[in-house]
Amino acid sequence: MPDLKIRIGDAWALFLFLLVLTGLFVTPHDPMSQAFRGAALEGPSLSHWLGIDGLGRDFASRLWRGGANTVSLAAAALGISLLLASALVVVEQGGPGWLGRLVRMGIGLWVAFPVIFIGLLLLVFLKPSPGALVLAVGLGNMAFAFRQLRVYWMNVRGALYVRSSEVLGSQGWQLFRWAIWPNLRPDLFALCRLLFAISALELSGLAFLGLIGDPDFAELGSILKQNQAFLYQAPTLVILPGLLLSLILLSAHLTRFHR
Amino acid sequence: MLNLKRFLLPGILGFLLGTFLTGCGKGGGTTGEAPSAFIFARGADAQKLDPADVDDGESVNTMAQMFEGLLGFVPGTLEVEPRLAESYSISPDGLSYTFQLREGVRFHDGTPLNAETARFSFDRQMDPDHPAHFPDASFQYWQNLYGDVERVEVVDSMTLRLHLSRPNAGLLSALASFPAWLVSPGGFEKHGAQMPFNPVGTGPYRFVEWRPNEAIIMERNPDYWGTPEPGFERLVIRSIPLNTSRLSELVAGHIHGLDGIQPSELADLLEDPRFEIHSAPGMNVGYLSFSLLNERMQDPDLRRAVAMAIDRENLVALALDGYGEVANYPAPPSFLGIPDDEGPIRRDVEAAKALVAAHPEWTAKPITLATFGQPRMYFPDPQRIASLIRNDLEAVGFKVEIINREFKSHLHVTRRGEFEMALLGWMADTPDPDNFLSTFFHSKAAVPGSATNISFYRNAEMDQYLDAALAVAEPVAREQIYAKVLDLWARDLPLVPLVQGKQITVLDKRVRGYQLSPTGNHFFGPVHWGSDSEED
Amino acid sequence: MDGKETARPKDHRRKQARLLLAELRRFAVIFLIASFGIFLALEAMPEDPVSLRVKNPDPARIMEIRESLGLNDPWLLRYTRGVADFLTLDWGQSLISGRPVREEVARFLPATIELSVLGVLFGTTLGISMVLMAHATGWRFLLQPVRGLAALGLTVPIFWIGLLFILFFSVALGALPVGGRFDFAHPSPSGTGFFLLDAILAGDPEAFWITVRHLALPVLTLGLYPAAVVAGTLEARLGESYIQRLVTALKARGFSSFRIWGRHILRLVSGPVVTVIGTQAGALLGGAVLTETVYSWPGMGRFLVDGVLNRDLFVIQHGLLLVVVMALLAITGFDYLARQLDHQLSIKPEDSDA
Repeated sequence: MPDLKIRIGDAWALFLFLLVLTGLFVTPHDPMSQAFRGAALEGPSLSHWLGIDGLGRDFASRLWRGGANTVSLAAAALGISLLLASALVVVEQGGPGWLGRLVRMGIGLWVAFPVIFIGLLLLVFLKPSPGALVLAVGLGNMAFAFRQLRVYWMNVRGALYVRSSEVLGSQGWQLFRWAIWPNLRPDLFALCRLLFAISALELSGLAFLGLIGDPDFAELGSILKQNQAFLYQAPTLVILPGLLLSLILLSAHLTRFHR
Repeated sequence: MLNLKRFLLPGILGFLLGTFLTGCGKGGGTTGEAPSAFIFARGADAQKLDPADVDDGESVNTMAQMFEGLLGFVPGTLEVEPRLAESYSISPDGLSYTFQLREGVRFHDGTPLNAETARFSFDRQMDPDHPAHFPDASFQYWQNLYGDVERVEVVDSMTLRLHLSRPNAGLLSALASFPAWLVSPGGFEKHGAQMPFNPVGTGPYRFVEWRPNEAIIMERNPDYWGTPEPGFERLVIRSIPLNTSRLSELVAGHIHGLDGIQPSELADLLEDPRFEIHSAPGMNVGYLSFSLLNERMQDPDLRRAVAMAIDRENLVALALDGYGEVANYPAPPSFLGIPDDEGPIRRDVEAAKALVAAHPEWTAKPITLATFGQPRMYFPDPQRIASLIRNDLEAVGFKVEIINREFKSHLHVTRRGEFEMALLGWMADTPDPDNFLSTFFHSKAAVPGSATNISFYRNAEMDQYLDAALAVAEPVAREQIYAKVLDLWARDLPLVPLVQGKQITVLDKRVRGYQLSPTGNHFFGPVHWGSDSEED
Repeated sequence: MDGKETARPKDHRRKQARLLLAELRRFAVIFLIASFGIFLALEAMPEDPVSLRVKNPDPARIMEIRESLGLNDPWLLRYTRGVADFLTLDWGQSLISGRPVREEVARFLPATIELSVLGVLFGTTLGISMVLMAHATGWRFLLQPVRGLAALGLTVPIFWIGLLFILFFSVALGALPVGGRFDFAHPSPSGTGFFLLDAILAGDPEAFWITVRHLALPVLTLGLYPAAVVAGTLEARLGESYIQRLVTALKARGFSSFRIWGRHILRLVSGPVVTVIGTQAGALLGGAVLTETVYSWPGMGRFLVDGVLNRDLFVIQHGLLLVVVMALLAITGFDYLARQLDHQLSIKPEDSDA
């Protein structure tokens, strides 16, 4: 029975992600076009499911595109974190001892830098843009990803069956594919899920602080920031972006693939 | 010991919950009785509290409670009246102004007001070698407003005389403006270079504490010379950056007034019987400037196409939420020589489209539009203005990229002309059209770094008209010259005036005695708490 | 275990001293790297911070100011002087406000520390007590809120929940202030800058309550994330088999449920919980910035964000370094504490350096 529950949860998460991501390509209306200025702040109707925002844009379209952007930007940041972290693990494990020590020390330092300040330091010389934020969040979570990856790696490598496989003579890819990957996969998936949630929250937090550049960029944090001015007249414009982000992250949180 | 530990956790939790609930129970909201403190909130903190060296409204709005000038504006008007001077006279040639100072006035630190102590505030701005002429201060206003003052003379202990190099009809209102407010020389002796953070004046409230980004706290000046007596024991001016938070504090009853409100939020307040909304047209213009230092922007057809594409009515409706007017000219119609008509710019989407279609080089790469985050009186939400303009321009075929900066960085960039299109505005200090027109179009205002002519529009003919208009005193003749200035502007369009914002202050209804000043500054000196039965 | 330590106290102390020394050395190196990193970022800044601040663009004047600030010296001299200035607390003046940076930090830092410490304390207490309560009572329905709480911190944006709290508690109920640290109608407590402490020291109950009411929502908001992380970690740890075995064993010895969970198990898992708080110090600071923004809290977060956006040289240089040093100290401190706790109860000695 619990198995079924988990499967339903996974299916729901997959469905939601795909649905949200279609917002990158298709939305009921153009999320940037202020074609409905005359109807600004009007409530839901058949053609505008969630009404019109304060600048005459279809809010459902903005929300949809915003969710898609947040998800894909967070995924990009997650990718950067993992890529850098695994490169560092390889260097730390495979390189000379002094290099390993240097990497560990650097990571010890990096952990102390809150992502927001890494973002700010980057913005000292980069133009505020979604790309800069992705870079900041990706770099910011690199240290955490490194630490986790390293622990997993040690566990897996230390595990008895790897040693026995080595003894039996499997090498390289074979070793990875048959002995390491199956043991790494659940941990890695859990790490991705966690990093994704952290990245999405940090990214939209930075956007909420106004560091994403274009104020019209459809991202859930920046939509929320832009709509704050309408908090009293149309509270849904503020409540829904946060709700959608929470829903996406909650769905991701409840997935149990391969467990 | 075991038992103790067993209860430790629930205990802590219970304590926290209890604390929290008690906090809720003690719930605030102002009650019927008169509060001892008046609390006002705005969006940003003051920068300095030195009248001679500030240029931001928040600093002036704070100092207005603590400082006064020889002259002042009659509340709610731009009419000049004696303040710390009891009376004044002007010599027939207009070259010397004599002020008879008020007896018995003391600065907050006890320093008596006399000709010597009054002179300090002028000398320190005029004389670069004066010890209180701080090296990192700009004293910008002295040049602009008081540059004709040559010498300050102490005639006798209570008589001060200003000698001018040439007559200047604007000097009286300039002397009522904030850069001429008197500071105590005792304050300088005590605080030295930290004087701008420890203001000592003669006003109805005196300085207690400045908690940066949080609040500036003042208390009643018990020895205030003027009437009425200050109405509150304490006067607190808080900085709450988020418009929504500020409004929430007001609605929840934790503060008594605010400004910098998003006009869209007024709709609810209008129906709320607890609040009174003070609003009046401001002396300001919000505009779109083209930097002529930029090659692409030098094409007058491009500027015309942009002007024709922008729906300014819509800006007023959606970005100012109706609280403002379309700006048809680079100065408000209440100013001399500025017609009260629709102006030379007409919206014509089709013509703009045709122009854009004929010039593929305009759209080869996106045009940048520089904007900023902090609300100003002319743009309550500058990003929203940028967003609406981008949509208008993209509708006729332009490509636009919005660049958003912090206000100070934005000023830095615009004052150097390092942009293609930029949003900015101007709030006048005096009710003279020159305050807008020379500011925008004179080549002497186009110095990189401090430019107010951020378009860097340089035209000898324009300079000539502007100078000529200043030399003429007769209004009709001046009007004729300004008509030529406006013609030149309409021909070259270095900037497109967009909107004129309203000044809006919201106060608790029980707060009495407040009057909006046309300069846009707050004077809380006469403000007091009225009982419900009292009628104004 | 105790016996082992008293048997060879000298050895143990020497080992401790050596460890401390190594820790200090590591810290010094990290400090140098951090200060150099910030120095480099400032070097890479495209604009000149001095000309940003001077209204008068006279190049000679700007040169003069740069000279007086020592900005024209060779980079090595500037870097070493920067470090020396930081260590001697000679932090210069803010280019924007003209106030001494140290004075500004002395104002803003207590506000942030007060908020963060209370937020972490509240969150940790909430997380631990909910998890333990659910296990100790054996009421399974209590586990649902625990899982909900663990999910909350990782799914709900802090700025959004903050706004909702304001809407509900401040606007709808009118019960709590919307923002700020204090209601200045009442004279604010002074002394240490920690308002709660100051109010207690001054024996001013009203100031104390005003402070508590202003702290309530920010602490609640900021506390959610640590509560979630702690609850999640704890719940995961408690699921491990050795814990389950221990519980069974203790139960068999006839201990009450409360005693088992509230005493033995709590002490057993406190190490990992402390570690996890330590590693999250950076994330907590980030949360503090957002919380400060939503609640207009006059703390280091806003001060530093404004400093960076305004290119306020000395504020970035010293303020940012201070925050990084403090985060490092917190991480190191929590790490040390966790090791002590683990050491004290090393039931699983093979796990001690994990």
